[in-house]
Amino acid sequence: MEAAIKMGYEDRSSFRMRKDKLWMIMVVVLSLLTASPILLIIYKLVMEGYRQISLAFLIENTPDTFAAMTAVAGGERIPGGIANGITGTFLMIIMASLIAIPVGILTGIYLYENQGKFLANVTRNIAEILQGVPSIVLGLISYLWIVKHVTMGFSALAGSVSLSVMMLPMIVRSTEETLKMIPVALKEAALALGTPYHKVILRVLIPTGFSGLLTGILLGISRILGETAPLMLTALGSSVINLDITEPTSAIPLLIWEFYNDPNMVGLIWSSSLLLMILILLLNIISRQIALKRK
Amino acid sequence: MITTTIAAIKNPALSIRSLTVAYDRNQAVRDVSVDIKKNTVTAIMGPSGCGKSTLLRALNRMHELYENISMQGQVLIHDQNIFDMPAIRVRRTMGMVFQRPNPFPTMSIYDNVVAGYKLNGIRLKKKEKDGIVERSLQDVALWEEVKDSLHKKGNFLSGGQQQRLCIARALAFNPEIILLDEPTSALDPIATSKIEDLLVKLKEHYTIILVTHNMSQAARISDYSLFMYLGELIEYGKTKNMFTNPGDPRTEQYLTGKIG
Amino acid sequence: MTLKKDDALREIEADFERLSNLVLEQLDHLEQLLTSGDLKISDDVMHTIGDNEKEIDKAEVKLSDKIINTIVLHQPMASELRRIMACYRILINVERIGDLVLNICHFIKRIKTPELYNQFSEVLSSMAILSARMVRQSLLSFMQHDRELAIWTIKNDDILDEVNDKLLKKLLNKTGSEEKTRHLLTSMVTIKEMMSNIERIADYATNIAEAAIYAIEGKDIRHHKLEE
Repeated sequence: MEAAIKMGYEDRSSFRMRKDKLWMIMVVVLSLLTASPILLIIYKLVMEGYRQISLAFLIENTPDTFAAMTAVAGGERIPGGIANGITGTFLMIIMASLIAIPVGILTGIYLYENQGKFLANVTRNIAEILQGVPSIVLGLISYLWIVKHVTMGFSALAGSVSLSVMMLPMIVRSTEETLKMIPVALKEAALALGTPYHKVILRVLIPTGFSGLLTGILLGISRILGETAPLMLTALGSSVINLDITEPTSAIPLLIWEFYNDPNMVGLIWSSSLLLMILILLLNIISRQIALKRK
Repeated sequence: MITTTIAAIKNPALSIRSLTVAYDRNQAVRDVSVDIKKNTVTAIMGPSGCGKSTLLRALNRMHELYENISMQGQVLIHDQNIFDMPAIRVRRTMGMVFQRPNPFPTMSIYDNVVAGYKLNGIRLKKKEKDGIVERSLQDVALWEEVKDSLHKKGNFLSGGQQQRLCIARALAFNPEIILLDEPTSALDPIATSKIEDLLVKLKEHYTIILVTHNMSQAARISDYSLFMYLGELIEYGKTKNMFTNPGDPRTEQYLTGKIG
Repeated sequence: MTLKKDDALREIEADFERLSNLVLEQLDHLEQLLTSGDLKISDDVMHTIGDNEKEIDKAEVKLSDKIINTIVLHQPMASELRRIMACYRILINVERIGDLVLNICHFIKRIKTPELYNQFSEVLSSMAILSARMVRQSLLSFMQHDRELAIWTIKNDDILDEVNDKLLKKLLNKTGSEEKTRHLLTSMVTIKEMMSNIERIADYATNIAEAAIYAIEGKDIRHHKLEE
């Protein structure tokens, strides 16, 4: 520094430090700004919704409008709960996973094995495009395929299919990326032991990349938890718990939409939304823990 | 051009006949023919890019992992050409140890040693497995250090210990030949010297073929040496003769540091 | 790494050449002395020869050291290794040649019978000239990588042995025609030779001991007085 001063350059270090501080302040302010919507949402949901959440809320089915109207008029807590939505959501998520996970992982493996090949590149591009397709369009397609031709009517199956197509690109991409990150040395070590290639994939690559694959799956699930539009065209909704996949089923987001539209049950939207947010939050935390533990 | 300064080897462990390995049009290994003597340590040395690793990996057909590689010629074990056998069988006759220690991270030390069996779906009784694990770890002088943590994953081991674990993993399968590709390049001098001692000890029961870019290492532990340059086998002979009195001027230049 | 090794090897070659020249100088002096046939050696010449001898001893120790250092630091291989190992072997012999030259000078001073000496000085000088030539050629064969010179030297050793035998017989014949005297003298010469050989065994034992001290302490105590 002294040498620089001797050479005639002015000491600009204090100016630089002030500039640094300015940038720091800007960064902090903008970060808070970005974080604020989430914080405000959570605050509002908790404030409005905590009163409704109870064991009954989780176990009972949606009330009908009259019961709700009476309760609101009487200033009482709206009876019933969203059990049908909860079971519906779980049912459809499990089915969507059963479809999307095998297909997604196998596709991911295929892409990993065939880097640079024309067909693989095309497949990868299609998966990317699929990710951008509006969810309602996917709902329409599922309506055409399943509602019209398979189950002859709205069904949980149709809902699951549309959700699985939404999950697919995420799983494909995370599988491929996870596998790419595994050092080639492990593959070579397994091969040098005389392991047939398919076993190398099944017993070495997949277990080693397990946390990466799981993260991809959990992210996919957390995405479809809140999807509403495709379910409106496929699962339709139901006022009772339904476990028959060929029949219309409810889901939490569907219920939120229904509550919103029914003036008597508006009060329930906050608690339902809160529950949904809690589920998504839990899923995110779990997937992060898994990723950390496996490191 | 090969200079053979030794008598013909009867009953070699491995017989390489006119082996050529090419990437697209590039010949990485050209027309190499040599017999490897049983129960010796044979070092393959040469400057970078001379084809030594390619040659080693051709011996257990590792190149089939990649697409654009073509191989010609024969490699005979017990008079059978390895290219006429299923690749899996070839790889079970030869264990391979790589430059970077690579124990399977999702498996415990115990499971790593018997990984060869597990990955191939070969079921063993617990007693057999215990025996194999103990014997292999004893052979690599790792047993005392890990016998109380067999079921922990191997990532707490030092580089040298991990490499010895990888050797144990190769030994567990009872191969005849062990191929090592610069096994001590990533290790510190003490770990290196432990592994060198191990290899000299192992040659009693196995045939060791070792690729090294460190000619002092080749001098220290090998009985026979192969010198490769630009894909060709230039000279092959007893190490002590090759290092004091090389036959080919290129070998001389490599040893005195003029090439490579 | 090769740069330092090449420098070290070059230094060894240069030092070796210097040492060779010193020895060859000594041999020149010897040739002159024997050719002149003088029994008196001037103090100057004696001095020069003595100083040279000390130089040779010092240079030899230094060069041995350099060779050992080069081996441990640079691990020369193949022809480079052979070269400095040969250099090491030659050093030992060169040093002995120096010693022998000094000894011969001392022997000249001890001769009490000038007439006898004069009769032999010509042959002695021819032998010396040939020996000196052999040393010169053999050293050159090493420094210039010349095989022919080396072979010439080896072949000439036989010639020299023959000349040696003939000279000894001639020497004994000069002492009179009586057989008894001749047998006496022959026996005396033989016994003297036996003594010399036994003495040389002791010398070699000393060399072995000096080498042992080098192995134990790392000190080369040749040409030094033992400090105790």
